Amino acid sequence: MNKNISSLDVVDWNQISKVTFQDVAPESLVSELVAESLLKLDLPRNTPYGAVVDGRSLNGNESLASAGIGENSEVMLTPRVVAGQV
Amino acid sequence: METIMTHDFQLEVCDESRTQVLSEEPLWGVGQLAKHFRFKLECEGVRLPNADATAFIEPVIDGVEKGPYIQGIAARISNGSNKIHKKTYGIKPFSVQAQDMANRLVAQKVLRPNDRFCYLIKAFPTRAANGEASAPPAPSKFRSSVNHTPFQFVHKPVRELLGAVPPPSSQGDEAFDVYIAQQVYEQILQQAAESQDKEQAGFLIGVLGQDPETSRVYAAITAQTPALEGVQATCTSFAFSQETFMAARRFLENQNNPELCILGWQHSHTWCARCERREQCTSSSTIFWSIDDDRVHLSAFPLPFQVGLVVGFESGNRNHQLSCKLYGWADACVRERAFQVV
Repeated sequence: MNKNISSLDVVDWNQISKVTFQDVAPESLVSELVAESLLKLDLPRNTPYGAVVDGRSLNGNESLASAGIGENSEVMLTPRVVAGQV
Repeated sequence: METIMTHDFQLEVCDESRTQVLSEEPLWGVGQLAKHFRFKLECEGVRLPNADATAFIEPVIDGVEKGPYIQGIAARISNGSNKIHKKTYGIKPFSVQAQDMANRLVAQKVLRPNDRFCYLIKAFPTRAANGEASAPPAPSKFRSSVNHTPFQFVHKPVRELLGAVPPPSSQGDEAFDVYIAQQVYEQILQQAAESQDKEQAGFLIGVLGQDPETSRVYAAITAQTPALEGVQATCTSFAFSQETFMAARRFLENQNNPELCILGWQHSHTWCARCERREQCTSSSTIFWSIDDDRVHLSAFPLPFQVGLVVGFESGNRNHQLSCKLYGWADACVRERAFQVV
């Protein structure tokens, strides 16, 4: 069993709001981290958001460990949105 | 600034006559009201030290509507001393969430596409507020803390940033001024003119500042970068992906100027540009703010100073001239606002 990640940050893409997670199990899914971050940052629940680390888009179904998220990683949340349809 | 919610809020969508509740779900985005109010206070010259200021978000219940239904939501900010600032918001800032709920009801055939509906907000004291909450919060496997960076104002005269003296402000009714550098404005119009088969979009970059000569808060748009990576554009829509936002952040970082930030976005509505009957067309302007634009702004540009520029054709002027309108936050809702090209 992998050692827990003692601290990792999730920031919104404007880099104004940040959630710092402590003692995170590395087998947690990226999608779980994103969902919890949206809740904590009070971001829209009707918009899909993805996670980015070091310029890489992460797959929601992979674990933090397999996504390369480790100690003191900074994950950025970015929305996927469509303008001008209606 | 710490934000304390005294209540949990629930959004309810009903039929037009309010006889039947069609759907309900937790209300989100309530905490954003504290950011909007704080920024408004800062624009009015109220200084709130970040470490000491605390925001409380609480329901407003009038004498007519019996609880748990509420009339609005109040943000109260205390700076640690005796001074308390308070502002009441209606329920309009949550209309996008209500519209999305109604859209889902249409998909489920509970509502028909053009049915009218109404939405209401209910509030229940949180466990922390009354000691015995109605429902315990869902357990979380994560331990976390939230931190919001205060808005950083650059203290420079706006003329120093734009390289020209702006004309006397015509934006007195706005909480803050928005200036767009002439060169940036022309670039945006040019991009729209060159991409009339499809919508185009981009990010507005610049400085959030306070003019030491006038004390007026301003957003000075000094650069823009087109959204090109990971986008999907049609003649009536423009999709941003993760790659699009990453590219905008890279552009910002490559500027090597810590004073710069993302001040908003722009996109074009030029679908009728190639229409053969355009010159005879008398239909309304293509410059408008759609509910999808509201969603983009809410999700990607939620900061109180972030704006959205729409480029298109004014009614009766579809021959060659493109024109723009600017939209921005006011009382936590998006509406058309004033700006000046300098």
